[in-house]
Amino acid sequence: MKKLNDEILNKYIDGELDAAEISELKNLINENPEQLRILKAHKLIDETLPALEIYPAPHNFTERMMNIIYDSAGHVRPRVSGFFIGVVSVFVASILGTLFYSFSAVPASAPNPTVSEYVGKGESFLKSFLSGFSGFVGSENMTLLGGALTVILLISGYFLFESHKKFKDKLSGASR
Amino acid sequence: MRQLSDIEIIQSVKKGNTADFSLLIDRYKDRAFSMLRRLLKNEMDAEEALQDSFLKAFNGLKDFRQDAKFSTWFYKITYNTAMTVLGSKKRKAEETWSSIDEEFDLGSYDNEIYAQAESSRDYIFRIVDKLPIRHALVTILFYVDGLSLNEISQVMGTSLVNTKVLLHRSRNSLRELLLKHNYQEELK
Repeated sequence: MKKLNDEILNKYIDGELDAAEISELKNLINENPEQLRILKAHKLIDETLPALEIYPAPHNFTERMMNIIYDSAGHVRPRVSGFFIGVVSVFVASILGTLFYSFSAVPASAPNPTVSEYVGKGESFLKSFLSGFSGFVGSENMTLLGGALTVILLISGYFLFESHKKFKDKLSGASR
Repeated sequence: MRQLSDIEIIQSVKKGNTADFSLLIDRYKDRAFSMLRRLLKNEMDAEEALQDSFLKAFNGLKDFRQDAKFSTWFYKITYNTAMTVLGSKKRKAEETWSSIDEEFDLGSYDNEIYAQAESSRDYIFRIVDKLPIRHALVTILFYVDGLSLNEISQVMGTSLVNTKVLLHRSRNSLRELLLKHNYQEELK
């Protein structure tokens, strides 16, 4: 080995030189500073390139890509929980019901009913509804039913929490 | 918590758990996007090609052989998609399809990049983007994605010898430029 050439330099970087060739290489660079300069430049390339910048994919790419996949495959996308929709529907229906009762309870013949009359009717309806509800809830059977429902809710909550935790672990494991 | 392997995720997707494909997207989207951005030199084209690549991968999962590596298979899809984009736009066609034996010269970019670079590291990062497409791809897959030369040759459909030639030529040309600017002195 009289001079460092491209082949030897690349073999050195790729770890393909044997012990005798490495020793020869060391002698060569000790004797000739210009050869050391070339070897240093070659090593600098090899040490710097692994840190090459990784450009992050655009924001929300995964969600958008999954939508494309669902559309292309004709899959039904995961929907909002039916329980959540049910709770919102009951809430909205009770508000609408109260409003409807307030308006219908004021006689149409009444000359120019005021807003306070509507509010008063709505209030009396709510009071009678709540007193009826508390009477129903206050009974002994209802206490037993409430207890059973609480136990069911706690058990469901536990399973929901566990499945959520498993999915979260799965996601964090995949992104590592 | 043990990380799910690519094969485990693929098996789950094949069983009908389509949503699990998002795990593969999260795992490969940044590296594939980086590769596409460097090859296509345009962010919008890169994003479009990335979408195409993942869609092709999803649709082709049924044909995926489980003894192969998903990364190699997926990068091959990504590379072919990038070549199709470049071919259809006839952009830099001579670079895309040129023979690997053809010499290239980074000298024309050197002055501008040297003037902008703040360090040898910055200089190398900028000049790599100016390598001809196949040279850049081999360099990125080898150094950034950690693929072996054998895997890179499968991705690009070139022989192992030619893949090695591409990598060595990239290193050699970058080395000459570093020597020109005496950057090697920064290395202790």
